[in-house]
Amino acid sequence: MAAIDNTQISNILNALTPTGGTAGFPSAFTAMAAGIMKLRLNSTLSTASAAGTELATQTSGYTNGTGWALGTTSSTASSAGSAVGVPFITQSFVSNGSPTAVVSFDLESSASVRGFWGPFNGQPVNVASGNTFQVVGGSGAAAGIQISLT
Amino acid sequence: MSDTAQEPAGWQVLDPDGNVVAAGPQTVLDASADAGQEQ
Repeated sequence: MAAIDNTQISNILNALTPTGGTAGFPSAFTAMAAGIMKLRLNSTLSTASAAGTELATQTSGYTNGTGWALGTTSSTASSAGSAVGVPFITQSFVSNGSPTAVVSFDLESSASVRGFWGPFNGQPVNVASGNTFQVVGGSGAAAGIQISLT
Repeated sequence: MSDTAQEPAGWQVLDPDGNVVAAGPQTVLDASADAGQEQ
């Protein structure tokens, strides 16, 4: 399963190959907005071409359109090809029961541009009203979502 | 001593008392692993 948004796949490929406007040059890489990235949670499965259906605003901890802002602490940066773990700090919300299932996520810029996406392992995750859903945070390999290009 | 590898936790569902009622392993996005296999 490819886990990168199609636009980003082309962004990476074109920046690392001689596809630029000047013959033989690489294309410019389009960086994400310099702002706090976020995790968007969905009740349906995201794909490489589009995000799933975002959760509605919950009792607490999750607001539709805002998602989980990851601004408290940055993830540990990749080094020598290592994976990046997301989130660094555990993120959680208290469910209002609508919907009751969490299926997938999208890692987005502050401007809601998608980078990576994926289904939660074991999805759909049913979260009854009043219960808390959380994605485990941690440094590097301890985080609940591991993103790798190798 | 157990030789069973402990799979890192990825997500949890807690009841209002903080008890874990469900949990799942990490979600691993290996973006290049299945390159060429996608239909």
